[in-house]
Amino acid sequence: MASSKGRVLKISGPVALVELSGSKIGDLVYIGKKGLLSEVIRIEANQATLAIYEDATGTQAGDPVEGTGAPMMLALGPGLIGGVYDGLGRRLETAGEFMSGTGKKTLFGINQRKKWRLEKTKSGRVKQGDVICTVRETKSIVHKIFARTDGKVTINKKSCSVCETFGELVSGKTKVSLKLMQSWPLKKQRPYLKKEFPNKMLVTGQRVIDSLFPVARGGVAAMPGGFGSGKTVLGHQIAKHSDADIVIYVGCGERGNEMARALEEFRELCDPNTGIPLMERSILVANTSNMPVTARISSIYFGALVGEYYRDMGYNVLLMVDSTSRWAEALREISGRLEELPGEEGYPVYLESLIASFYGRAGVVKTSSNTTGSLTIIGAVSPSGGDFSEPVTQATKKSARSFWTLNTNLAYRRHYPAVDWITSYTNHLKALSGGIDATEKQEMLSILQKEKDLERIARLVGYDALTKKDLFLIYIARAFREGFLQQNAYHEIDRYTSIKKQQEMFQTILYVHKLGQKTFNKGNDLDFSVLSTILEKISKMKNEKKEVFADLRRIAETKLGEK
Amino acid sequence: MKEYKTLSKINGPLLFLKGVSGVGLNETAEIVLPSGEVRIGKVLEIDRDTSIVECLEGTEGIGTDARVRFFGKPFTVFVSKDMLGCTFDGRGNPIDVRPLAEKEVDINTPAINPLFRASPSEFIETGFSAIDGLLSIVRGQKIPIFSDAGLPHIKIMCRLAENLSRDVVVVFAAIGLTDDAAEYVSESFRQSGAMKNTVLFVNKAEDSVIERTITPRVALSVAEFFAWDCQKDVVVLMGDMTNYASALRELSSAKQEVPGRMGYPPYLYSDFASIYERAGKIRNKKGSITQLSFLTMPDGDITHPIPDLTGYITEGQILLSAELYRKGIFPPINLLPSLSRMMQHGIGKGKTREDHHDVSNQLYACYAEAKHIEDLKSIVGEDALSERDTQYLSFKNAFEKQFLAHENHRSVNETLDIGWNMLKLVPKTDLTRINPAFLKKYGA
Ligand SMILES: Nc1ncnc2c1ncn2[C@@H]1O[C@H](COP(=O)(O)OP(=O)(O)O)[C@@H](O)[C@H]1O
Ligand SMILES: [Mg+2]
Repeated sequence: MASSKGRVLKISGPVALVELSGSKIGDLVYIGKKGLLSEVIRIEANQATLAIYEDATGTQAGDPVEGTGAPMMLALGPGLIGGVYDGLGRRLETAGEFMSGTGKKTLFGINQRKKWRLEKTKSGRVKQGDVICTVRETKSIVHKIFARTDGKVTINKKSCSVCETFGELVSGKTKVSLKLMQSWPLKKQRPYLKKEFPNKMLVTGQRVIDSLFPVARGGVAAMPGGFGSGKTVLGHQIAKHSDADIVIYVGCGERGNEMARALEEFRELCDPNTGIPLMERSILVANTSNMPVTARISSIYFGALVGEYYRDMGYNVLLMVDSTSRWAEALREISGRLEELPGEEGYPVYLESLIASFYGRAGVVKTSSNTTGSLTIIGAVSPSGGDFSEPVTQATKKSARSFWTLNTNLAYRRHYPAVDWITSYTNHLKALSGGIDATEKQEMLSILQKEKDLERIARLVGYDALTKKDLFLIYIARAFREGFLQQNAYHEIDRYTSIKKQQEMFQTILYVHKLGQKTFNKGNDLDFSVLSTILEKISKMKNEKKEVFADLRRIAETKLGEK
Repeated sequence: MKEYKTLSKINGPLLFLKGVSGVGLNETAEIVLPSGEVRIGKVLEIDRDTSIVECLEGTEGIGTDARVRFFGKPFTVFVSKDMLGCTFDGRGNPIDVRPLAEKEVDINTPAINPLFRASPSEFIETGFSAIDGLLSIVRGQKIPIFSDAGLPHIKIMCRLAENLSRDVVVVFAAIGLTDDAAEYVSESFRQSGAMKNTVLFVNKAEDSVIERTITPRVALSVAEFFAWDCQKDVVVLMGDMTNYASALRELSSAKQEVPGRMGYPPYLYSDFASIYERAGKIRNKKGSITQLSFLTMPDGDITHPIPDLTGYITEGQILLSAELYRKGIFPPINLLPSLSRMMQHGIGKGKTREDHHDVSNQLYACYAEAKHIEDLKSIVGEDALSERDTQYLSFKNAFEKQFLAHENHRSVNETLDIGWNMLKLVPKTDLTRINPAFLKKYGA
């Protein structure tokens, strides 16, 4: 890696033009006296245009520039989990209370001193992709180190830090020293053998998602919504409760206070599936909206790369990004500074392909070491003016199999999560195992649709004009909306519902619906006060630990059905 | 200090200076006119030996004979505890008395490390029932008032200052206010006694647009001094943020930048964030910065980029309603689309009162239902309403006149008690959001 020296010619905001020969697009360059981090984004003869990742105040024309001749590299290895990082993968705990530019200072995101005990070591002949050794990274995660070629392994340490050599791999004439850590270019995708069909669902514990619009492990979900529609809360809920092995949460250009709250909660809470503290399986990336926009772009790549790295160990990884719109806007800002020809709404013309290739990194894959792992990506989208026809939402829609539109009007009515059941959808090519079956789902959606029609009629002619059967349907629909779809993120029990309980709740409401219909079909009347007590009891189930669905169904049978 | 007399071009607010070396991005400049007049500027771009300087007070009267000086540092402001009670212009120059300077600080400060933020959870009493009861604010939160031309947002800001200045340091940044609005503000501050505990910055409509982009930053640097250095709780009141954004747009077009939505620069979000994100609390520090800003929505349109981008950054929004104002309700707060995102962390037992969550949820739900019934009434007519419907309509009327509208300061206890009185107007069976124990204790 040849480093080269040059100087600053022109600087404006986060973009600089420098004299620097022999650089390549994507190369890491240190700029100015402090050696701020930047990246080559355009080359013309012996001049390069740089995007600067840190606040460039004070940078002068003529200031020194140092090209590293290599792209920005990340250290991947045990110790990533449980960390909180900035958009460049640096641990936030190494910065002070205020984020002034740290410049050249290390890019290391992982602890270099900590000693890891090597387990399951494998010496002797190995094939490429074999596990050479593992270390217990956290209570729930075993970190695997793979052989990168065929050859013969010797291991000479029982424990070591990430940078130490613990052995060697001899393959023919070449000899590679073995380390727990590897460097990998920030923006380079990690290879895999082949993609497989996502066919298992990622359980999120959020009823409207799991029951109506599930996302697959290895799938892509998008949640567009205006401000206050509940994107962040839903994102946090899924990050906290989903049954992924590892969750990477990227706060991309969002609020500092929100990030602080997330950190606090992640430290306090446990994974509902394993009972192990959440931080033992989580990685948080915090690029708040007042941090440099360039680092906003890299925060997305950092999240995806780390996600692929753990996917390669055979884990089911969830990458949650809030909000991908801030990333797109950062791209627009840089593109504007470069005076590129703007596309729709000023976004760069290549926006759509960047979004597609980002979401393309999701998937269930047969990894290079022949195990199966998955990376699920869920992205929040913040459309300007809450208008879903804007470019970022539209481009995202093309990649997303699960599309959760958050409706501001539902949020105004405090119907949370404000997932609009009319406009949201899931279209996985194969059915996802687990969850609620398709006909039941359809039944419920049509009840909700009918309710809407009836409400419209009632508004015109008054509720008195509705038949009892219509009223009955309205009752059932309300029980679905309030008792099932609405889920309070701040309620101790309601915040997470197991799949089994979701099914029970869902089916119990449908069962009452069926009973009532039968009664009407026989020409009989229904006791509405009994009905509303039963529905109220069902609606309350979401807040209760004890589950008495069988009892409820029995009561419904005796009181509503034929006696 | 470096001095140059090499102005080669002047374009809008921008000065092009040749033969410059050793000057850094964002550095402060002084432009000295032959008459001896001095204006302030900032280095916007450096292109080899040319520096582009943005002139704060406008370029009128500047010719190529002006000299430009550089000081090797970005724009700063002098701060001290003695600033309390004083008024400054939009750049931080004292208007009446000049307080002693304790410290010189940059007006742009680095972002707070999210890892060191404490998440806000201490209730602030504003004295307004609508806010304290249903849109409770906590120390370290940032929340704007979305208003419209002709609505009493200035009066609300002044009343907030009056009520808040009893307990906290108030920093008020008037941005692009008309003469009479600015006069109203300083007059009301003096009369109410709020001025004692306030630092006031006034950028008037006639002041330069560049100064307008500086004012909130100067004010926030002063707030940060009080919060982080002096460990005080500070509330920053500022607005009109629409004037701020217009100034930014004007500058952007002078720089011939590629415009974003509706001509606003594509970095409006990041720029807003660099202001709004300067609110918060820091672990191991006693102080806090709370921001209550206001903006007038162009055409009353909440999807306009200014309120839209603001709403994406702030922790909620408080909307004012022309309809309520016409009915004589002050403060005319439009509850349904308003939201305080940090409310649930600052209320309840040990913070405000145990019944706060329930009362606010119930009031909100009843008010929403009453509104729904009112809409219905306009379609189906008065006669078609049931008794329950009429009960709700009288609830709505009482709620607006007695709960929302009030002139004097109310404690949160009073607010909740009045809330209970309102709830007595709806059928008891509808109070489903209230814990029965509270119903017994407070609802009798
Ligand atoms: N599931 C939920 N349960 C309870 N409250 C919610 C829920 N979802 C959203 N909210 C409320 O809505 C507010 C805004 O949600 P948020 O996720 O921050 O919106 P967005 O990220 O879309 O702007 C939250 O502060 C909270 O008060
Ligand atoms: Mg959000």
